[in-house]
Amino acid sequence: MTNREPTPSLRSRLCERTSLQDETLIAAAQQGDAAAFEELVRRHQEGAFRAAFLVLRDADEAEDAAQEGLVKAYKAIRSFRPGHEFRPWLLRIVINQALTMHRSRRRGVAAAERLAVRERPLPHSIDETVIDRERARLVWAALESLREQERVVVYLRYFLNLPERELAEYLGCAQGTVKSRLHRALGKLREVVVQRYPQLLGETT
Amino acid sequence: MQQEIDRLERDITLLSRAIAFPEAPSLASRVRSRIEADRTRRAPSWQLALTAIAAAAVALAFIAGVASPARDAIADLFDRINIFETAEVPKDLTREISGTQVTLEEAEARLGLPLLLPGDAATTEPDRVLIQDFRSVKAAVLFFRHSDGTPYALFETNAPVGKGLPIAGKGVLSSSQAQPVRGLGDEAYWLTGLRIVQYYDPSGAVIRDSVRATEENTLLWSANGRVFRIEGNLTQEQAIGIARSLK
Repeated sequence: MTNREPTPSLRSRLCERTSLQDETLIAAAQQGDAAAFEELVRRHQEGAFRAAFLVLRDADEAEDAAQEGLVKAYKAIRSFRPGHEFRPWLLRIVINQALTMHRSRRRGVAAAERLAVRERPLPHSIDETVIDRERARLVWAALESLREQERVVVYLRYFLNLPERELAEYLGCAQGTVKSRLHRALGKLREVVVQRYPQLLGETT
Repeated sequence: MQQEIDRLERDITLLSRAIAFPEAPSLASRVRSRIEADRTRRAPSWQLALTAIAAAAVALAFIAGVASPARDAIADLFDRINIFETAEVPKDLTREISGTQVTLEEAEARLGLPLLLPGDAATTEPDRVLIQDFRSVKAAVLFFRHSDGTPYALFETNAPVGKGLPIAGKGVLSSSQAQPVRGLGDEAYWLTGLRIVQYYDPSGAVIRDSVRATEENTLLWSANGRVFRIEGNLTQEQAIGIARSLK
């Protein structure tokens, strides 16, 4: 074959794909490129799954919610505005999907069972060198007693480590407002703890 | 009160560090499959049949432990071309290579690229030349005979060699019907067995006119930013010889 300008191999372009910026992939996805969106999902699927898991506290349901939410995100990708943070935009769709499933589940169970749902156990594995298991269980249960939006703010900030900039994007508020929203959520948590889990405010269990 | 809030905040932080999340499932390929399925939902009946066949092939491969859905069984080899394995072909899906018969010069003009010709053909002139014009993608198809008389078709397209996005490399390598060929062009694959060939437009939609089935041995490769394909009942060595002789 005649040789002209050498081109990078397909394999190296495959590697390049993984180094593409989210913005490039988002632009391609907005043009209908499903493969570009697939790569975006690959990058963000862990966060999406964890967010859904925190809401639903069940791995199978979280998987369903995350998948459904990600498909919805693709359908809505053209509404994503360039220059904004992508992760909070994506997480909002996934979390809304998880919350919808959560509400549906709660509507579908009797009152007694609802209590059982609220008391869903901790994930099977807790590093007890970091926090005592019983204390972890009580904090976990107290968080479940918060209102949806308060709970989600706590999850995003402390469990998914979203910086304030992205949290502001998620909440649709100024960055300066994020601290007060977090403080308000923690204040509500304190009220719950005082009423239901006062031992958390005593000596370390 | 603030002390209590601080203490709760510390507990939450500790819990977030201590908690072991279940392992996140691999959702990317499944989400992609859902998206593709939604796209084909409004497709004509034979396209729906193709989707079902592709899904069945994927499922079989999955059950057999050979591949995982979407990613491994469907091999997106190049940017605008998709070739995937299938167990059967819908009755009304053609195996014929369609196109408009043109001269070699016309094909080159319409493709907008210089055509490369094999030095290993029985004659330097092709038996016939077709131009396939799928609007956003064009292909010149040159029908030759190998020096042993075996007919084959050489496809030269103006499809870009990927933006690096849709290549499911792992699938290509793991597929029993798509084996990588070393030392030819930038990347090359030897394909055997029953397959569906289709082209995509820039939006990622399948170009209906382009879809056909083939069972002929195929050498697919990229070189110098272009995509080439040889289809015919040639051996792998013969096809590679032809590819190397192009000039």
